[in-house]
Amino acid sequence: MIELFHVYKSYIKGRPALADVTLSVEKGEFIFVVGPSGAGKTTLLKLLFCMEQPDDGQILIQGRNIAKLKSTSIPYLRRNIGFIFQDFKLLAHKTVFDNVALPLLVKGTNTSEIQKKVSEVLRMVRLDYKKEVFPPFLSGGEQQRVAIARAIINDPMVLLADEPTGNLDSASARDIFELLEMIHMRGTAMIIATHNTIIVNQMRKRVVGLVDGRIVNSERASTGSV
Amino acid sequence: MRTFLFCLRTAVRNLKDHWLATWLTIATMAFSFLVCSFFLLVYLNLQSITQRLLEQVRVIVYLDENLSSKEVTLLQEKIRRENGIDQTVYISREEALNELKKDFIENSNIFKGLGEDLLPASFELKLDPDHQSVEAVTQLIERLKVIKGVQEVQYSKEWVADLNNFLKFLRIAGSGIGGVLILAVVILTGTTIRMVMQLRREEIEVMRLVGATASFIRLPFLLEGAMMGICSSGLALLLLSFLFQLVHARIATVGGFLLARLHFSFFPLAALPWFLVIGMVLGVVGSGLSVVRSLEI
Repeated sequence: MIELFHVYKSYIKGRPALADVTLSVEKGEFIFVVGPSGAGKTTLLKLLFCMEQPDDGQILIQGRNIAKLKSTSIPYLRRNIGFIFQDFKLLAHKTVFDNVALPLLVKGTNTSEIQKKVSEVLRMVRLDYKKEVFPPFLSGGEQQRVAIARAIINDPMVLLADEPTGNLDSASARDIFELLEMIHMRGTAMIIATHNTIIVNQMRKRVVGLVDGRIVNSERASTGSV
Repeated sequence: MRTFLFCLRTAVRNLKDHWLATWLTIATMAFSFLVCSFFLLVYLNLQSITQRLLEQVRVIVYLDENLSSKEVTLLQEKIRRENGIDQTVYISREEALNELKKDFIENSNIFKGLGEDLLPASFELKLDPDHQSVEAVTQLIERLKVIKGVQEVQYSKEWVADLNNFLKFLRIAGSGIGGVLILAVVILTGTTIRMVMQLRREEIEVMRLVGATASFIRLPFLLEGAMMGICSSGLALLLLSFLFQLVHARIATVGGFLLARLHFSFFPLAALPWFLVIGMVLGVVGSGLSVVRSLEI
């Protein structure tokens, strides 16, 4: 489903953020991307989300090379990919409902469909009773659940998450990963960049290790550990 | 349609959220439109007045004394054949004196004791509209002067030329000032929209991340510009209309005989919607320039 071939990306000459990265992700697969700070985890996710363009190499998503994607096509790609950020990126002046509905509004979805889908997703993340609340009045864990709801509202083929529990306590972090596992069980592929080695070891998913922009290991499920 | 309505609601919300900046911008733009419209109104009225005056302008050909009626008839025929003359009306000495008496009706006693042959007979020539330029009339007058039986030819070409020159000056000055003010309107709208975009940059970023296209993000800002343009041009029209009514009423009461006869008029009703359209277009252009420069999708 997702394939990277010899991808290079650098921000400073002589210091590559990613170097010769070759990776494939199957449909419905769950992958942890681990590594120290500056290893290239965030860069990898940004390339997959077309927030950056690689300097060299190919990135294929469902057979389409997104490395050469026109800027006018990027929004349509992003409607099929969910992204969860460490800092949630919720709109403080909009309610939980409106935040989650945003991806449907930009597609022109009708009101009744929006109502139905948002309610369903909020039930899934256990926040349906807080749909009229504004994000600043939610806890960190609740805000991240709203962000997850927004990321999955369009039934994306893959969910990217960059340190989704970086700002949360351990209990909230566990909740979030349980939610992500539940979403994964419904068929959505997951690529999660994280420092949380405890969760990685517990969940026993495929682990891709990055050091200095290079893949150092890429072990499939059942043996994955950090 | 759904998307358009969503963008329209977003634009209205943006305008309400930043109501102070919005109204300051509208007020300033309205002032620019007001000055432009004022110049245009003055120019159009002066042009209309000039046209009416030119139509009324006559060349007066004063005749030698003691011409027989046959000589007068022959002379009239000769003058009528000249190029550029639409109509030739003979005014006898008696008729000329009666006309003068009418203009001084309150002081008619000044004519007591004066003879009926006070004024010379004359031909009043109405000019062909296609031959009303100063040059054409000057040439006509030169030809008339040398005709036997013509004592004097009178035509106030100086003030007509002056009026035409003034109109030309007004057109150039108005265009220059209007151009500068329109540029100011475009820049002002763009600056306000850029400010709103800065304040909304977080929302814009999130919209990009959830798959909003460039046009979806830009449209509310363009609509904001359009609405500000329509409001400011509408406000300017209202103010100008009010000022016009005020000045018109003042002219009617204290402007005197001459001003009251000049018939100033406001813009025709059919033209008013075009002012709103122009305001809207300038608003869209101003915001469009900002949006295109500021947004990198």
